[in-house]
Amino acid sequence: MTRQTAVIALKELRELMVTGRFQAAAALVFGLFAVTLALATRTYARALQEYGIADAARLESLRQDGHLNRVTMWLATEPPSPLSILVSRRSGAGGWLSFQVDGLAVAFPPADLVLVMGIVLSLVAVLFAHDAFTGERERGTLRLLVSGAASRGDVLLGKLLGRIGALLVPLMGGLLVGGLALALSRDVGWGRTETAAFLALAGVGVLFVAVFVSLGILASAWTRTTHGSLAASLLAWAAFILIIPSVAPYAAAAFAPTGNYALHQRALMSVMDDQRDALVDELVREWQAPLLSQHPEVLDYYALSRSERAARAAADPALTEVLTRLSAIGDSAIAEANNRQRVKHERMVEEFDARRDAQIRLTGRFASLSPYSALVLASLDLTESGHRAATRRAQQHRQWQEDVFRPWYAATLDSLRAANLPGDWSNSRIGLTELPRFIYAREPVGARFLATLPPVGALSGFGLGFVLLAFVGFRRYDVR
Amino acid sequence: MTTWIIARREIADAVGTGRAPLLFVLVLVMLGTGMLVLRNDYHARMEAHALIRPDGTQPVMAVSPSPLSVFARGLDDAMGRRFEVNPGFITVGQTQASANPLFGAFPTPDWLFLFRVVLALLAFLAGYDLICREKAQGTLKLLLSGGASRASVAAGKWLGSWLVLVVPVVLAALLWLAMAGPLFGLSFRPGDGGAIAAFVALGVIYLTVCFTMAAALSALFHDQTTALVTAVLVWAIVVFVVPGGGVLAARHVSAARPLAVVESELQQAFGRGMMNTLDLLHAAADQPSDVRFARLHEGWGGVHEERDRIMERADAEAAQVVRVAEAMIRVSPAGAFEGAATRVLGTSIHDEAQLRRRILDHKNAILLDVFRAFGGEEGGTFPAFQPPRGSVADALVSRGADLVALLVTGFLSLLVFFTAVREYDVR
Repeated sequence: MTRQTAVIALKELRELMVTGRFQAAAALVFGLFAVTLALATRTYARALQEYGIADAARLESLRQDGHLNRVTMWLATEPPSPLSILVSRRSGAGGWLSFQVDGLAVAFPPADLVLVMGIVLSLVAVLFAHDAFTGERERGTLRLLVSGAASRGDVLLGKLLGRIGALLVPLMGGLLVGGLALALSRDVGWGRTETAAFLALAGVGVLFVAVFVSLGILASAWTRTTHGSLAASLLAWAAFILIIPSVAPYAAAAFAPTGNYALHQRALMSVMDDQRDALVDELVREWQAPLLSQHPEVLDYYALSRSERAARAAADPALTEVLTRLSAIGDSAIAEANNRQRVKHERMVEEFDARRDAQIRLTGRFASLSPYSALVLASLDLTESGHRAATRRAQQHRQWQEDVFRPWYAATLDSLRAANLPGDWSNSRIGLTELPRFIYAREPVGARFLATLPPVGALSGFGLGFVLLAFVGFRRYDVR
Repeated sequence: MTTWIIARREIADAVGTGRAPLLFVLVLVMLGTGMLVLRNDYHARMEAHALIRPDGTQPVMAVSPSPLSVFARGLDDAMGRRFEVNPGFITVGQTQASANPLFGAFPTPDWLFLFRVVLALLAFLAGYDLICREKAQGTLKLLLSGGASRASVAAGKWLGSWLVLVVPVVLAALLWLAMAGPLFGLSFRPGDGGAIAAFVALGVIYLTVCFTMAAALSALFHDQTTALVTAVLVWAIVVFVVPGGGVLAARHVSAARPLAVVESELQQAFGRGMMNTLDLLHAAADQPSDVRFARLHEGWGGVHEERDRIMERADAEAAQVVRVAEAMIRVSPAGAFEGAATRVLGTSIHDEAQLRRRILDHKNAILLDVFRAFGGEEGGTFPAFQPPRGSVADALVSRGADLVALLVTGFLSLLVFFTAVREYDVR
């Protein structure tokens, strides 16, 4: 950066910051950051408190009425994440068994940092960058500016840096005040991981603002009047913020269909239900056939009533032995059918997940045509509220079930059998006091940041591309 | 007469400079894209519905997706879920046609979104320089010195520019509506025509309010750039800040528990009730079957009662948040428009809540039959579920506050516009 660039940048910064328009817009952005973070912090603190009360009630209930049959459902709970303060939930749908729906979240997504940065701040950036050259040309000062010692490159860079600097004042001011309030709040367990994610999000925010300042300057470098540059930059802003991100998932669904989700769910259920039962029947018939052909008297036994069967079995030890062998064959057939169907089930899940992941990747590619989508995707990854974290959580949960829950379940069941409790063991009240709990291990911020490199790269690409095009336009700009 | 002459001049100017045809093409492309995208979504959900709908032998409730969701998807997806009545609870299956979570990350490009956000921006852009442009061009002095009253000039300019905005929007909407059946394969139900007409009318009122707000700004400011910057910021506040902030503030001031907490309470009620029911059945193991059935009824019936109470309490809490949020959001024309439009099209928060109430009522009406079927008795069929469906007039009456808020904002903006033009310093 040359001295001329620094001088022009400072001039831009000073000129912009003294205008009433800018001060009003900056106050709006600053206020929105502060108020949004303050309200979200209080809402989170209350949700955490509610969760604590509910969790204590849940554990007490397990002590009172605990039974093995549905214990998994009770254990899959997680406290709200403090990072939900920064990025709110984007969907109001509940879980698979959730009757209630958060309709308000669907109809009116609550304000969060993504809304303030992504929509309001980007709009302010475009509004205060569009007249970088056209405004000076209309006032007649552009001729003076380029006739001095500064090259056109210096002028462009100075204007860019000056305007980015001016917009960083409300952005950094708002984030600083909100961040300090978060860090000092006793209600929020705000640790190093959260601070690092917050700083990374702020960094992405700065890059995002720079992209939209570049967009405004690009429009200014290719138009002659402030009206023309404003119309062009607003049109591009609307396409980037409002149109491309909204259409991207639907376009991806059209080009990379996953197949019908409900049909997939139904097929999965069928594999482990009626198809499994049919296979069990087939295997039992096939595997028991040799033994039954050697012992046709078993068929006569099956034709007897329950009390007659008991009397016959007691009177004929050889028959009892055959029945025991048949029963063992039946158990093996069930186990084999379960295994075969589980493999089929897993393959179907994998195939569907592969199609779904392909659609998600394509959505990401389409969405990467907009800097706003890059901001949204990066913020979802940084705050672990997107698809990546959901996949990671599901993987961890599967592993936990394999390593911790199933052994615990088997051991508890064995102890119940040993205690010889009457009735159905799975549905017996056993007062579960020592429970394995699944605790999601959050991804280190470094890894999360690495995951945001594609959207951050897309943002950088947009910024550089806009600046380059602006330079090309400004080099041949008629300053008269 | 003078008013109409000035209005015609505005229209001729917009047509001559290509502004009006450009606007028409832009709106046509946007509304067409929105309809195409949402029509695909609707058909995919219909396919899913064909798989999950009850055949009469199961205690299942599943409402067909609404073709009106093409215009405002709202909560139609949540309303199309499958609700199966079991002895101790209702199993809820999701029906969404896609497993792609990124659908939730960005807004749905339905007509509601296009009207509320994109066309509103166009309305602000159409009105921001209504008066200050004439001043910048120096033609305002000429116009006012021609003998016409300031009120006539203001009315003529407002009317002309309003027609330039509204006529292309209505024409594009009518064109796509006419093509909805032949081109997009959409078939509407009786009564849907009234809902669509009311939606478009609400959209026009909303765009008129946005346009008038911008016109008022154009008469308050003397500099076009200041008027434009202010208009665009006001648009952002109206469309994003007030609705988003209203929801956040409403959640803050209202005491609704998070969904996860409600879910946990429901699970506890189920666990407790299941154990109690098993205790009752064990105690009646040697009793005749009618006594055992009475115990089953007592046990599971108690679980349903307790779970219904929890759900009703959660609904009452959620309704309070919605009431507070709507009262705050209604201040913004975008919030008032969305509230009224989704209600008219039957995909609003209130329609979804009403459907769940009806589902609970239906569940309680068939519960005895469900217990009988569970007890091994030969069941026949279960009565068909009738989802609630109100008239457009009822919907409009229930959203009277939104309509009043829209009209008051429009009237106040018009008042500011005319007052500012009367006081305008043309020098």
